[in-house]
Amino acid sequence: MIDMMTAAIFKCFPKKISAALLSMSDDVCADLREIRVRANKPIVVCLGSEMYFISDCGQPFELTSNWKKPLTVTSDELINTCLKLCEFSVYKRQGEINNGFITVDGGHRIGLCGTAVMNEGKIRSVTDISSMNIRIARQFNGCADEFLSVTPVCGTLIVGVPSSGKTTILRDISRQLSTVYAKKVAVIDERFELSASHGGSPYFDMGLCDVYCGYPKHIAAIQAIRTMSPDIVICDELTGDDTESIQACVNLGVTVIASVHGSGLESVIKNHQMYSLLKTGAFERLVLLSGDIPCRIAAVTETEELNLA
Amino acid sequence: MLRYIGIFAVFISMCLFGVYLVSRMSQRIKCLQGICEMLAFFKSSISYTMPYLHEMLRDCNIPQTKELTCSMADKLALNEDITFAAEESVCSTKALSVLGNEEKRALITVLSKLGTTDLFDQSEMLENAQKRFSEFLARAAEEKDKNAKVSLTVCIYIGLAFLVMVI
Repeated sequence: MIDMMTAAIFKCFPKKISAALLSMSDDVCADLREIRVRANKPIVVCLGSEMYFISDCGQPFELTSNWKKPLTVTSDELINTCLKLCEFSVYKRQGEINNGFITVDGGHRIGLCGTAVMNEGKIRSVTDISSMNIRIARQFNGCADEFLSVTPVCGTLIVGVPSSGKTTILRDISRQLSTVYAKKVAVIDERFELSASHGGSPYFDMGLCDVYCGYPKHIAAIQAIRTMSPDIVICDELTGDDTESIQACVNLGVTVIASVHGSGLESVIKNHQMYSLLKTGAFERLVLLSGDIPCRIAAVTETEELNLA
Repeated sequence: MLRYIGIFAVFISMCLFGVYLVSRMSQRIKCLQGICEMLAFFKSSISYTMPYLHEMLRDCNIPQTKELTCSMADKLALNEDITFAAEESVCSTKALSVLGNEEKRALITVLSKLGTTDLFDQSEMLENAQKRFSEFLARAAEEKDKNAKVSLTVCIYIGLAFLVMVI
């Protein structure tokens, strides 16, 4: 069953495409992870880890089969869809668009690809959008049970490839820690993905967390520590730039649970920026997510075992 | 007698026509002033509070353009295309019926570009639109003065002719 927010995204497409997407069966919708749209090319839907074309009656079929005509989107239709997804407020979404994505109601993240307009070495705007990747956000209550059973509450870095469920598991960790474990949890939701907040209220169940929406991580971390006295700070997709804010959390005795992109523990250690993050001592454990099944833990490693020099 | 009545009727109808023309021009000026205010509101909103377009349209409480902005916000809420929403809203707004075709076309262009470009282009576009509508406003004020003068002159001449005939 498609939820209201996902249906709202589908309705932004031209009528024939929105009709096809809305008529997808419940099984297909349950597996739907991504919708990839490219100008003048067929729409591709990712069901689980497989990719399919979609017919005009909403039926997915394999990319190799030629027996059905796949739904395609013209360049104008793609740009118009993109404008509708921005709620015709491109000026408001400028920062997000320049970073290559927008997050819409429901926490769904839409990756954008086009032509960058540069000014003094920075992206001023993105024009001629040529492709778009709609990543369907979902809440799976209980998906963090395995995580919370194998790791007691301590500084943890969750490592996973794209679509391995890092955001989903962090969302459930936040919910469970703030309710079941009765911890004071501050969630830093820089890209509105974790909570999907709109008008001050989160779309997803975030338990009893304090959610900092849209704040850059380094500002939110400091503000949270100073004003909300959290036991745990949770944030998504750390980069090397966040080392200072993570260090500040460690210095003030706040536990950090965060996620990073990575295909394995080695890739994180070899990454110079990630290495400096690990050296802050904020993370006692590294949890590697299996890429095949969302939110499934593949390995847990103690940071001490890594012998960080 | 019939001649007097005829000339008097022409005099009255000319006066009424003059009044109608002048009042229509006044309405047009008011409407253009409203549009200029609306554009200024959009520009300041986008520069400072940066609301979503539909919020900005609903928050715009200028009497002359209230119907227009609400109608457009409603149409956008129905997932309509912005150009279509702008055209439909401009055409269906009664208060805008006094505008000329060029002014309506310019308004549709501005509204259909609202929110579809980046922040810098948006501000520039609104600035240009403000200048354009200020020109329209100045031109309408000139036309109003000219019409008022012509109507007054015609009425005076007919009135004089009527007086001469009576005397």
